[in-house]
Amino acid sequence: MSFLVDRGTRVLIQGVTGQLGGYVLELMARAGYRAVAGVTPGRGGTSVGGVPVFDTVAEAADQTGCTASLVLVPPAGLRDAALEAIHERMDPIVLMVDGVPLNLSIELLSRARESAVTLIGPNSPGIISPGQCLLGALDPSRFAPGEVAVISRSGGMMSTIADNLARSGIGTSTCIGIGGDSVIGIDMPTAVTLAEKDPDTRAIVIFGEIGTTQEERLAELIRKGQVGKPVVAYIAGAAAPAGIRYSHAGAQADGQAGTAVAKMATLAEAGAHVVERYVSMGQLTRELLK
Amino acid sequence: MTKLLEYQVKEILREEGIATPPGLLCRSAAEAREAAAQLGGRVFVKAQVAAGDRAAAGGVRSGADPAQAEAIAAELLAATIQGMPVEAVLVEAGIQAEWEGYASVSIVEGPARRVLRFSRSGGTGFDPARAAFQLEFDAHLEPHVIRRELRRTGLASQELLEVTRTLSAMVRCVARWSAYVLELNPIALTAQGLVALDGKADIDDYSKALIPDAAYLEAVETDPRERLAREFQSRDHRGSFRYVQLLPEGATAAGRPRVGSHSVGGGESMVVLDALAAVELAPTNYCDTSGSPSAEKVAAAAELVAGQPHIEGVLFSTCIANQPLATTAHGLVDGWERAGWRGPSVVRFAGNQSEQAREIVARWGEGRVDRLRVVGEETDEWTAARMLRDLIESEEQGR
Repeated sequence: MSFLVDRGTRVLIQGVTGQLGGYVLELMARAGYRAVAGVTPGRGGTSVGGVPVFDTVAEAADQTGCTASLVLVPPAGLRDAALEAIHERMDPIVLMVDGVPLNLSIELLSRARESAVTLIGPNSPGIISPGQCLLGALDPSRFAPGEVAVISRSGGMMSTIADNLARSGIGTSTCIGIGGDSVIGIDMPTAVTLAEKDPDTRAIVIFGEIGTTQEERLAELIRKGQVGKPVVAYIAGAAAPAGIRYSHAGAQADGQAGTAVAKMATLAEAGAHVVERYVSMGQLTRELLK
Repeated sequence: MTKLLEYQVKEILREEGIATPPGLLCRSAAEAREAAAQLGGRVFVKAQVAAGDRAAAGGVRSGADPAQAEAIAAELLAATIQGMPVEAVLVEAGIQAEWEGYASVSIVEGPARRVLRFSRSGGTGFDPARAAFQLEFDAHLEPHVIRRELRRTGLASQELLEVTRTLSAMVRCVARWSAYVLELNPIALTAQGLVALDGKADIDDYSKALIPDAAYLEAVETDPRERLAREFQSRDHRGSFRYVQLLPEGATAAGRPRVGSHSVGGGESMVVLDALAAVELAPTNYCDTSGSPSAEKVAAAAELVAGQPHIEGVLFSTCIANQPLATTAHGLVDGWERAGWRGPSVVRFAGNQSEQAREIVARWGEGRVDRLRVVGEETDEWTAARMLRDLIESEEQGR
């Protein structure tokens, strides 16, 4: 099983007619996933890779019953596309685009909250429930179905970790790339809470990094007993000096706050299994599930 | 995000109608003397660096007369604070205050929203979480809402209008300047109203095209390689290119060999820094080219990394990437060729087209580089870092 997406999720891709849209459809088709609809205003009535394209999300929802949206629209059209998806109650909505201005992120998050829909991202590679649903630009061959949730602040490292788990014989229930920005929709504590509630998830693997308070808030949930499933954590950036802005806008530690070392200590004290190298996550998780 | 310097913060505050003490920006001790004479009385001489705890590090001092101001400025302008050279000082008039408090707008998480905070006490060491007034909001906050909540904290009627006016101006300011943080600490009540004695602001880099003056984000970057990377990124939007100089030329690393670092993926780049540290190698830089960049962009990055005169080796590594790595590989060897790089190198490809990418780099290396290892995802980052360390040591032994 899974959370947020499952076999019943009907995938819409906004911006499907662009180059990235074609690439995502190809990734999906290769592994037997499908999108039921695409939306590109002005291109209604056409189709891409067998997927019907509509002018509006409302039409797409009416005619295909799409329920969740992957937004591949570039920054210039992002606000309009995301607000349209929120208005039509697509849930979840994945925002892939990197470099979203702060005020826009805050506005979109606020509108999604008002409409009670889950926003994933911005700067997210998407979400996958192996064998059930792919809503993102992820290579499905790296993800095996199973009982472990992966929550990652890095897109590339999510695939890398899922692959490491698969090589140890561990499959995943749902993997979410929550995005590398500091202002994001679903964050690590919230995603872990969903994994905790999912009856078919038995353990949770996280990729954290310096900056934000997500790992500290997760530690608090574990400490309070609100997360009881085993949490295996790798936090990157112990060797990255504080006070510097790296690639991910959220990966910035300030003085002692938000450093990798502090996050690892806080999580370990709370009872999470903290590894020094992500490559040992597969083996450790397998032992924990025995 | 980019941290503005105090004098820049005060410029944008004044535009928004928030008062600051009379002051002058000075780039020499003589200018500081003149400024103190012009301002009259006791002045504060404040180092303009984006350091967290500037006052505790001796970066803010007061002088009784122009001669003292000149002497302090001379010392500060020759100093570095938390590794940052002081290039200018702000000389400001002393202020008579009734009280010194705290005001800020920042981001809270879980869920991510803005929060406005105010307290009639403040100063160094004040914990914002203890502010009596805290109000969460998203885009806008009407003055009447601020006023109502301030009254609930017991703020006296005679101060209510002035505090509301200032807090409303701060809310407008963070929106206009796309700030993660705007902090006025201390903010003082004087006979003329509220005055921001100190100011900090962190501006969102992604909003560069939207803020009133993008030059504020450029003035702060002084490293020439970081500037080149940023300029390239602003010309070529395909994928991302982020470069940070961690160890400038001339900086030593406590005997550890210094190496260049170049990665694909923001998370991967962090992992690589950790892997290098684990084998006692000192990365001189951080560099990430990901999100399907052009070969030209990867080449520009590779040339910057390999062109650092103070490195003994380079580690290139990718996460399991979707981007076509053959394109990345072409860019990598082009950049190394331009930099004339022939030093010890480990190249690790994982993901889309990794086989092709390995072949491209291996073929380039033949007859050019003796100490080159090209590996795939079966070799993890820590093993790759160890390989680089071994290559560097074998070179040293061979001498």
